[in-house]
Amino acid sequence: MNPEEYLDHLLESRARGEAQLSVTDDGIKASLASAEILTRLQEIAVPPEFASRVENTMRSRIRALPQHNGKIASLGGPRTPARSPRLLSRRVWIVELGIAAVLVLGYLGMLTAYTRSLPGDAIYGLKQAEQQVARTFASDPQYRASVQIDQLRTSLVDLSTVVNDGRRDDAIKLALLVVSAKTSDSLKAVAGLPAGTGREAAQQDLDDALAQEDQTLRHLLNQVDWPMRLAFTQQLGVLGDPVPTVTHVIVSIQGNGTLLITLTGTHFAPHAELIIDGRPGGTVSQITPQQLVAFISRAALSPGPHKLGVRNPDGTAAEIVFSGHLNGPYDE
Amino acid sequence: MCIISIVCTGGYATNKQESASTTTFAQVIRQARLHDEEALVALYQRALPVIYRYVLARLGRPDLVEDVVSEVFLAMMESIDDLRTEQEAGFYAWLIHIAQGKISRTLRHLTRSERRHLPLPGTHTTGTSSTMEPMATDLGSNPVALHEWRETLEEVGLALESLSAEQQVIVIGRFLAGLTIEDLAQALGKQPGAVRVLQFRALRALAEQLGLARGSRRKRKGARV
Repeated sequence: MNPEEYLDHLLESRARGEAQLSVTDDGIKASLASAEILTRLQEIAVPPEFASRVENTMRSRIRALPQHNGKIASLGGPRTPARSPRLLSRRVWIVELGIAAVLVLGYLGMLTAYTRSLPGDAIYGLKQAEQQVARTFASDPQYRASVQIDQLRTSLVDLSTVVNDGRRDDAIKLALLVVSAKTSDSLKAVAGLPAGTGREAAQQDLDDALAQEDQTLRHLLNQVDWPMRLAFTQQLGVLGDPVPTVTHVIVSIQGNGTLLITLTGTHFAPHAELIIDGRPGGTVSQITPQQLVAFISRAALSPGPHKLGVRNPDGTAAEIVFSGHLNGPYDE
Repeated sequence: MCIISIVCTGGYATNKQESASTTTFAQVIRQARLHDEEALVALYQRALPVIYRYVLARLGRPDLVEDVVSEVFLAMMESIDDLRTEQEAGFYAWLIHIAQGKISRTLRHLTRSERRHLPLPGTHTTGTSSTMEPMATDLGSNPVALHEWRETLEEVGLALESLSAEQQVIVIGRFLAGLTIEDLAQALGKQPGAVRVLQFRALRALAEQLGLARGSRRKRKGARV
């Protein structure tokens, strides 16, 4: 680490309130001391009367400014005679305003397009980039946490839209990945806030967003196919929901030629179904929260590997790969 | 009242925050370019503490500071269309640049002795009640601490003056606005490593000017390391 990086590292750790390493280099010590003096400037309070006075002045001046609301101002008034410099100047202005209007409309169109873009769209990357920029430049930790939570909410809206629009699984998968990442980032951002009312407010905001995420995922569970259902279930598990998991499968041949399937795991609910390669199959004979036992005809399970799973009545699901080896346990 | 609360989470405007809004800084900048009153006021509220402290440190005189700070924000309002960035760091860099111009102009009109004349406690140089006490903490009851603080402020102002405009943007951005090296690198169009080097040199130069460095020209009283 060079001296510039070392100094910055020390400044960052001081700003985070971490335990300080002893510094032996006099130059670094002096630089840290000057940084501390600069930081002391933050103790200067802005006189409230002055702040209000300037704000009032600004407000009155702003009201006198022309409002740029995206519309081209009408160029009213009497025309001057042809070929007069004033008319030429006005024509130049009209052309410039026209170009500006086209550029503004183009920019607004682009802005609208990428703001509304969804996972799987070509310009969705721009939306992600804008969100990244918003996060990067959120210097205040509480503001950063607020931005993260806001982006989590946006990602939930995107996820609902891609599912409701009937988009392909890869778009849904990407939208879910974004939700997952935003959830993780929001949790970290709030956890990193210092204790106090600010953190409590952020935690409350995050709890609301997570409740919304839970509700959204559960609402969408029955609108997606089996692979997506598994992914949604995993995300619900990340949120702390009691979702099913399958850790172990045994398939054994019975004397009458049928196959006995025993799935072991967690959170199996009463009336859960056996799912074979994404479709319901077999007859469940016994179920406990940790075990599901079902029978199927031998013909229903062709030789070779299969995916065996469970679907709870609430729509959550889990599966495991069965190697195809009969009469023996298989661990994932 | 700050309606666009997302840009009001720091500094002076903190206690004015009303609700957790979803507005991002870039959105506020875009609205401000359309001369939206609330957006411009939100930017002002966001930047006021940083600019006020910077100008006070450079000029050292509360009576002059208020005029200069007012001019900075009126210039911001009138030339917001010229702002090419939508990032907070870039916004601060732009505003500090405006402030530097206003400070230079003010300093040109003052002799050196006038520049560093600080009014005594209890006196008002402009007749307004807000020109005296710059500290958030109550130093009025501790004349020694108040005197020492003013000495420090004077030294910091002189030391800042010795830095380049870019170095000033970096140290003010880092230590008054709380920006990261990466924020500043993007705002200044430089690599983070280059900004670290500038920061390193700026702090070294400040230490030298403040008499904190070994063998520096001036010795500062009560320097803490």
